[in-house]
Amino acid sequence: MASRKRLLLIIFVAAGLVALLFLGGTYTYKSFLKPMSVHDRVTHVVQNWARMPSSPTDKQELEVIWGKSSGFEFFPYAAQHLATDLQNEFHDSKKTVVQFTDIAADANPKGKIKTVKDLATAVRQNYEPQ
Amino acid sequence: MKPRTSITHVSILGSVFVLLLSSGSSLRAQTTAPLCTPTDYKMVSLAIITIQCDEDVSHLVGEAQLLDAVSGPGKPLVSAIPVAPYEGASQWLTLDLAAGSPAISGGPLQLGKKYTLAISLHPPGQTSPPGTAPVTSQIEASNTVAVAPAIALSSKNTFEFVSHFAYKAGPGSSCTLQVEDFSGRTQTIKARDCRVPAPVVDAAHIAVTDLHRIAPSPEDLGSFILTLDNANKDTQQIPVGVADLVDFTGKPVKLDSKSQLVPEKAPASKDASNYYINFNYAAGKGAKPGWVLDGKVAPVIGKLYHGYQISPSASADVGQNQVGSLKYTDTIDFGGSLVHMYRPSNFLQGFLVSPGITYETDREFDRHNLLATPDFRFNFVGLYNPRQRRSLNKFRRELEIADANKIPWTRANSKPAFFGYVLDFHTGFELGGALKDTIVKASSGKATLPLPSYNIARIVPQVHGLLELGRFSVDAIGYARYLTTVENTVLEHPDHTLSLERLHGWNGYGVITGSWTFDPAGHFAFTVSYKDGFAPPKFNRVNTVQSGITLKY
Repeated sequence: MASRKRLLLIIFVAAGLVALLFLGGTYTYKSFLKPMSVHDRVTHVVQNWARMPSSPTDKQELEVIWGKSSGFEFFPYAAQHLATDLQNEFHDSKKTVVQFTDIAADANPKGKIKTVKDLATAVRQNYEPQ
Repeated sequence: MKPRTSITHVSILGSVFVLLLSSGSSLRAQTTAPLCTPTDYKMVSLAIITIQCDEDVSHLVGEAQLLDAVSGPGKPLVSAIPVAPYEGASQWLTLDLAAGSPAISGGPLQLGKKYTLAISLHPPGQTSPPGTAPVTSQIEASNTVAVAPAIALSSKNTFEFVSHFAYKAGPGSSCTLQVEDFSGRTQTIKARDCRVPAPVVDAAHIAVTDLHRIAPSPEDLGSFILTLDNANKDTQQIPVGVADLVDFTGKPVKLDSKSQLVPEKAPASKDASNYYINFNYAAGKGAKPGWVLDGKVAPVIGKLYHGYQISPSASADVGQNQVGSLKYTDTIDFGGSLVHMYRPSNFLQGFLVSPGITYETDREFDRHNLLATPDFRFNFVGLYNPRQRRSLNKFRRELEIADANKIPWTRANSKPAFFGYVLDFHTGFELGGALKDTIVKASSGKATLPLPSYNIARIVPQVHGLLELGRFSVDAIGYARYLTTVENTVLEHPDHTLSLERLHGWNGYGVITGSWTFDPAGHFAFTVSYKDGFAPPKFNRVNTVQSGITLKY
């Protein structure tokens, strides 16, 4: 009797594990995730990119933010990193959300994206979830 | 006008100097940051308004009053309007006017009217401290649309039509824009990728709690984006209307008469291409001077591919009138590379990987070397501190203090740092070979010599340093090139006879350049360079001083 109970317990545990693995593989949990605005997502990306302890403000210039933590040139390398980080964050976008050549720098005066707000606006204008 | 400007400038500089002497924390304590500085608003229905603040308000709630903007303060039109954070948008608040005026069906807002909102904010479970003035915001129930070009220049001919009113529907993916030129002629322009990112289909029945699902980004409410198929950039066109674009009440929107379809343009003064040209006259002992052109063009083109950037490049270090036994490197390189900067750790802050291909020749085009040139650059912590970075850091510190004391402060106000330095290390390889046997001719006379093809496998460690003192800088780069295989080269002697040499082992080469920049941006400079050592493909001895003008962007 005891061995039968143990067998049933093993079967239930195994079935539970299989169900969890199935859910883990197929379910995205998307409905449980809170939506976040493009602006807030961009701000988080910038914070991680510059390794800042707190979120940057809208008015802060990207090149100035980078100046604090940089170990190499803002343009093109740090700007390329930022563009790649944003593309990873908005990987479901139909279009590229931002190109690093759009980011303004002393070495790239033709770029128009100077501040965190400019960047958030540019990403929002290009972000088109699939 | 001039003296007034300079007095203002002096007073600002003086204020900031005093501020810099004081401690930043004590200064910050003197000012109280506002809970919300309204910057924008959106109307989702006649009963729901969202307000954008400059600050993070995701932790605040409150109550608001709707006042008539014309008659001024008095009895509020609606009071006790619940204010809550907009879910997922940290700078936005939602105002549910229907909860404050349940008797008015549809909502209390009337089209075309101006209102004042008085908002009292506080953390949940608390009340606003007594005597705290409410935050006020002026709003207008108007569906006027302003047209602005997309901020990214790469989004060519893309425009955003922004309204304080949410849109109910747009025209679909393909649309037509009605425009008028200054002579009053009306025409239509075809557009593609037309979209309303956050349509509010049923404004009458929308609830505040639904907002974040309809528009995760509140900025998308009242946003319509299109890309013109073929904009006429020569004419400033005034958009008049977009067919089938309606606001949440179902009415066609009204385009702001001040709007123009002028695409965003890059500043005309500078080009983004990266180039460097250094033209020199060279002087050596017992010889007449000659010229040297040392140039490099490496434009950044195209998009990133998995974080890697394709960079074609062409560089040349060529000259004429060799100065006695002293010679130039006589190198011309064409090639390209894929470049990506990794950020491995806090100690090794940058690791630049740039695998590339180079075709290496000389001014006479009698060498044909094809090389794979993988290069790895190491940027260690604390070794990247050029003046530009130090100036930005200095400006950032000044700005924090100026902001706390509400002093306008821009980068133009900040004096650049005087001192800067950079030190980085490379490890590179040059792998390939001379493509075919060639005939080398002497620069003067009739001497010729066959140069047999050979394999190339070089290890190229490099050290690069830069020291900046104001407009003066010293840049030094040293190569310790190790030839692991035997390479052939033809050397020309002072009497213009030729000899075939077989090279192997270490061949060092170094360049020290002193520069004095004419302009603050450092684009034009007077330079003096000292080059010493053996550089490929000829590996002839170089020992020369050059002075000239450098143009660098």
